[in-house]
Amino acid sequence: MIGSVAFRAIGVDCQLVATDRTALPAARRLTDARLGDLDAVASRFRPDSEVMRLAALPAGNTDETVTARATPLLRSLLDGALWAADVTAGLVDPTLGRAMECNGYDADLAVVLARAAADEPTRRVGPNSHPGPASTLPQLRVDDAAGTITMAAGALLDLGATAKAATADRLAGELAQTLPGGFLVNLGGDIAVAGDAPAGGWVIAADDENPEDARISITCQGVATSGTNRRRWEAGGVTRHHLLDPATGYPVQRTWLQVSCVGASALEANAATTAACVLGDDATGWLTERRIPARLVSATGDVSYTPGWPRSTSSRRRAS
Amino acid sequence: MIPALRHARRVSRATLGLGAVASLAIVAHLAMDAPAGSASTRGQQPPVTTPTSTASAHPQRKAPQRHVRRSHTLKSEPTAQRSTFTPAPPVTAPSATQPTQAQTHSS
Repeated sequence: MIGSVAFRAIGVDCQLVATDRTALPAARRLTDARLGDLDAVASRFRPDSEVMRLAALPAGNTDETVTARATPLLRSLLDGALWAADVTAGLVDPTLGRAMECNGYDADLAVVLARAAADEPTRRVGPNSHPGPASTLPQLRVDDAAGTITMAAGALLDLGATAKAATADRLAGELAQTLPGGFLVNLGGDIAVAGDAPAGGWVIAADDENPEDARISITCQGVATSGTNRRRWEAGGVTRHHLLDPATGYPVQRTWLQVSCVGASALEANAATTAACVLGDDATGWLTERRIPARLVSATGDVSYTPGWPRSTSSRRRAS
Repeated sequence: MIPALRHARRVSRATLGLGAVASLAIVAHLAMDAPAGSASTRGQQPPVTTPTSTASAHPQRKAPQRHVRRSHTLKSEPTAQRSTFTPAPPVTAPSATQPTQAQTHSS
């Protein structure tokens, strides 16, 4: 019998589903522990987190970079982030933390929204504020042999695009290896599955308001969604969102309301959705070239698909 | 002259043959010795699960078998994109009677 539990963690809605509901309590304990580890390493909103401590280190090298020891978890998360940066030619960029702050996203979203509601100006955002040099990706390196990372001094790593997905992947795998049955891990819409799937597969909905053609069945793939429909705020008199153009440090101007992709893992799916949002109008062709099944919702609500996203029989009949 | 020329050609062919065999042997040797993070495989697959922390790695968990990249320099080589997406198995449309287990949404 399938069991499911929904909860809030790391600033997003999370869900854990198990084909054997008796495994849920143990699965939840492991999940809480792993998400606690993730928060301690990657949170931009905790002064004691590893990324915040690294951001405070002064330059130690002649090229204004800093080399410092990093935990295995941070190095592995950076490995995923750098893979995503590579496969998207820099459209996914883990070095935009300062730019995100300059856009007003320097605290938990609930705090940012409350601040905007109170018309309280943020420390850094104003009509003339500029995020400054957006990307310091060329300086970012991971050296597992030495146990260190090298990054631009003062840079703030923002792993928001890939860390949840990578964590969902490894957590699902770990649950399936240590507990009976199959598992689905959903961390803020980044979904990974592992172990035995239920009969007919895991059914994922990509849109709760318009479910037709938004439901897919997966057995071992990852699914992710990115968009501007949830994480938006007002700052400096301007509506902003968290999908930044690495070239400018500002929110992407013309993008999709929501993009859902299927990948070999949640990390791969997330890299594709994030890149698609940055690409805007060019996303459909980019995803098609890479044979990534996707469902894209425009700002006006029009829905596009790439090959491989399954269409329901009724919609195909209606389209013909 | 002719026997001498034939002999010289035989020697040249033998030398070339030995050289080719030696080259193949060297290539094979290098291929066998290449570490997982060598340039020949680097960036061809996404990174794989590694322990989430030193304290939290489960003892029963198998070590990842796929390649994990060890160092990166990006954008300094803008045209040298190395990674590719892994083809995912096809997904299907569920039947109308199947319940939805989870929703993916932008976070």
